[in-house]
Amino acid sequence: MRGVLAVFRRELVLAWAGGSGLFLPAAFFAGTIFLAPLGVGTEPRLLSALGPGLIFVALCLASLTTLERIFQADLETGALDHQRLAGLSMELVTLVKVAAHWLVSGLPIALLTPIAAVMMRAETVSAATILPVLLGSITIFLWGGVGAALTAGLRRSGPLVALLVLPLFVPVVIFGAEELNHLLTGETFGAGLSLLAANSLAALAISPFAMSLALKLE
Amino acid sequence: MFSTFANPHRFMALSKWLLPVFAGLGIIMLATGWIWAIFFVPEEQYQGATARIMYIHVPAAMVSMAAYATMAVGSLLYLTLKHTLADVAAKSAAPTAAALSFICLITGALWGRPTWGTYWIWDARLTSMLFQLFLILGYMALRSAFQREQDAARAGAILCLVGAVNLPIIKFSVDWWNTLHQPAGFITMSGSSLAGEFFWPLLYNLFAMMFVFGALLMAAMRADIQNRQYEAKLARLNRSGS
Repeated sequence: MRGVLAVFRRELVLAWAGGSGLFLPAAFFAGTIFLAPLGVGTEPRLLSALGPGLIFVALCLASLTTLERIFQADLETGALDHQRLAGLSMELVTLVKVAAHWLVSGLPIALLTPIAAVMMRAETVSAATILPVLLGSITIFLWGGVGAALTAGLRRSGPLVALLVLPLFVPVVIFGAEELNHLLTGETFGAGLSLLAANSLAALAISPFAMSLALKLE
Repeated sequence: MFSTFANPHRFMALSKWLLPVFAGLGIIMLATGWIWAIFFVPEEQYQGATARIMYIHVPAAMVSMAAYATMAVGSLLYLTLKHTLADVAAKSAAPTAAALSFICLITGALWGRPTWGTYWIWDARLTSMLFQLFLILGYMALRSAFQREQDAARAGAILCLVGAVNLPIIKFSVDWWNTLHQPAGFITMSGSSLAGEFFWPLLYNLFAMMFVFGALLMAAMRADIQNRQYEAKLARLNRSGS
């Protein structure tokens, strides 16, 4: 367990040392949201109708921007081999890597949601607005991690990863946007939130095994 | 029984006879099935001759799902038993699965135009079929990105299984979304049990499509195995020659 915690700390230190790239997905997310009104117009009713869906689409796209950072460098430098030789469970190591990646890339996006909702002229914006995006981003980053692990050994894998993981994001976008729509129009939580959480748990249960299997070297 | 047929040599010997049988049956049944559906099946009460597209659309949809299931089973057996033939089956089923999904979407669009008044509707089934097509295309793209066959096989198998686990969730979510956004206002063939005069030609066409898929699968598997044997022989010759 101590070794896994050390990996977690290492990931965070590396992300922090990476500097400007840290908030890249959040910036991408914000940029997408700010561009939308320029394209579709500033009519408040139109914007508030588009808002929830657009926030989730922007979240999916933003998650793709830094996916190759999770495993590629560690695979090339042999850090992953060291961690395996140190006797660490690769399922836990991959999970911890995705968790660290989510903490620096996914969480900021979730925290930006209320601002994005205000920009999209939502009626009621509360702190609870964060919740659907928070749950959804966990699933998105876990499946994204699977895509990243599958393509870690490949050069220029960006567009390929997008093709692999975007179909897996479908349930998140559907349940998440529906739930966010509920919240932004002043209603309470619906069944979508439970389904969103169930979806996150399923991804949490399956993805570590897929990731560690995908990274196994011959 | 499974291990008996997992031997590539035995598979080659068996498929040498089965392939022409499946191909012949598939072609004959498909031709007669279409003639039956186009000229002899009575017109549907509300849709007229348009409903005849069902005899391509429904078999394509069902067999494409069966083809994806073939890929998933092959991937699972490859990951657990490390048997190359299972991977060859998964790999060989992919192009046919993609083509049948595509045929299903195209015929669905052509059917939708006269009956729903539009080529594309965000109907739950069309939407989840579209995502199945994307999953298969992703599988094929991922495989082709790897240089070494083993890497391609393992990555493809993992992706296919992750996709197979997700496909029911995707279908469920799309159904949920669809019922939420647009209450049923269009005609669906589901629910309504088909009368016998429509049912039997449909079943016949379904079997025809199954045979065609079986023939294409075996042909692709045979080509892949022969390619591997050729590569192995070439490597052997190069070694002894140098």
